[in-house]
Amino acid sequence: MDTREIPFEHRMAAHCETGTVTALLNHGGLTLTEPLVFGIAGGIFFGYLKSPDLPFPMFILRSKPGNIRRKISKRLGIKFAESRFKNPSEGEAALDKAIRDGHPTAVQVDFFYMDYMPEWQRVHINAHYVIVCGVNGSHYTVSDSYYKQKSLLERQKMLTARFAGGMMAPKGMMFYTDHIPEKIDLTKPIITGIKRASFNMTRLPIPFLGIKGIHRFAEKVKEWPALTRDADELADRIMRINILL
Amino acid sequence: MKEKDLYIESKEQQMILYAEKEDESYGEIATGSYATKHHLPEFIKYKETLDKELRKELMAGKISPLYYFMLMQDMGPGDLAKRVGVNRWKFKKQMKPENFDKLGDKILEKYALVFGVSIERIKELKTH
Repeated sequence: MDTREIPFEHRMAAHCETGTVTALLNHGGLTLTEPLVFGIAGGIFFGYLKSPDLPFPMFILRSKPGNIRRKISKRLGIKFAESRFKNPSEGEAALDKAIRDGHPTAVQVDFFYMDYMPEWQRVHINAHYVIVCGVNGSHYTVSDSYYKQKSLLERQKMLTARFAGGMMAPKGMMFYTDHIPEKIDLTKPIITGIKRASFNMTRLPIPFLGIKGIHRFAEKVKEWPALTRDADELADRIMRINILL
Repeated sequence: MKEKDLYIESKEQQMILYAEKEDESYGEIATGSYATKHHLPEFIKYKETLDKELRKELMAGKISPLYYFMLMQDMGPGDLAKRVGVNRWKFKKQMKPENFDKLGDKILEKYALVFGVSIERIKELKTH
């Protein structure tokens, strides 16, 4: 197995998806900041979710995973080469090829298998994005925007993480920038982003989404102690929300 | 929020937040996490208590190692069944402690892959 390291600037970011998209665009020569990417994509959202399927109420603060990439691509005219795979070995070969061709590639993974993270932080959630920027025999070099430096991840772990099943299964989803237009006018995309975000936050006629969701959350959070056995479990639940945010 | 109100000295979890800086510009600051700094010991203590309780039940033969790993990694039965790729009712059957010894290596391997541990670890959990 050959070795290939792509020179790639690692930066931490506040959110994994905006972090990866921003890093890919910056690598491709389009300098945007993370808040700008977040704003253009209209990433802000609020939802207070409670259902019998969930062990505990939860809230979301951003739009659906994958939305930021799609909206950026649509509003700025940037083309991402995206692919999903049924067969894990095909997915692995495609990732190796993309890196050998010199594209830093973002992959969707299950957060649990990122074993450079401390153990208490690792939870099973399929909507995490990392950038793979190097392959070295049995290891990949991974740039994770939640971690302070680039780290190594075993090939087998990466394969398991990319083809984890369950809700929002990644199915080996990977993407890299294919084409970035020479000239981009940001005025229109920014206005669209603001309009869309304000619509999502204020106009949706559903009582647990947007501003209405914030109000509902404020009411319901008083009932949280009653939902748990003791203070320890409550702390555990809140901690878990903190990790996921 | 201002930068100085937000900054937290903690080594456990570093994160990026966006805040107003001294010169009134707006930018990113690298800081520790508030919740992590104050609640991490409680969180770890809770995990340890859970681990102890579950191990006690495991020794008594009330639960199977699969159930132990499921709760320790905070998954629901439906979620785990989907990740392993077995039917939900089949999973319910496999999860029972009396059926654990009957499971073959092939199916245990699937579980081990999802839990991110080796097969031996699952098999020897009762003795350690």
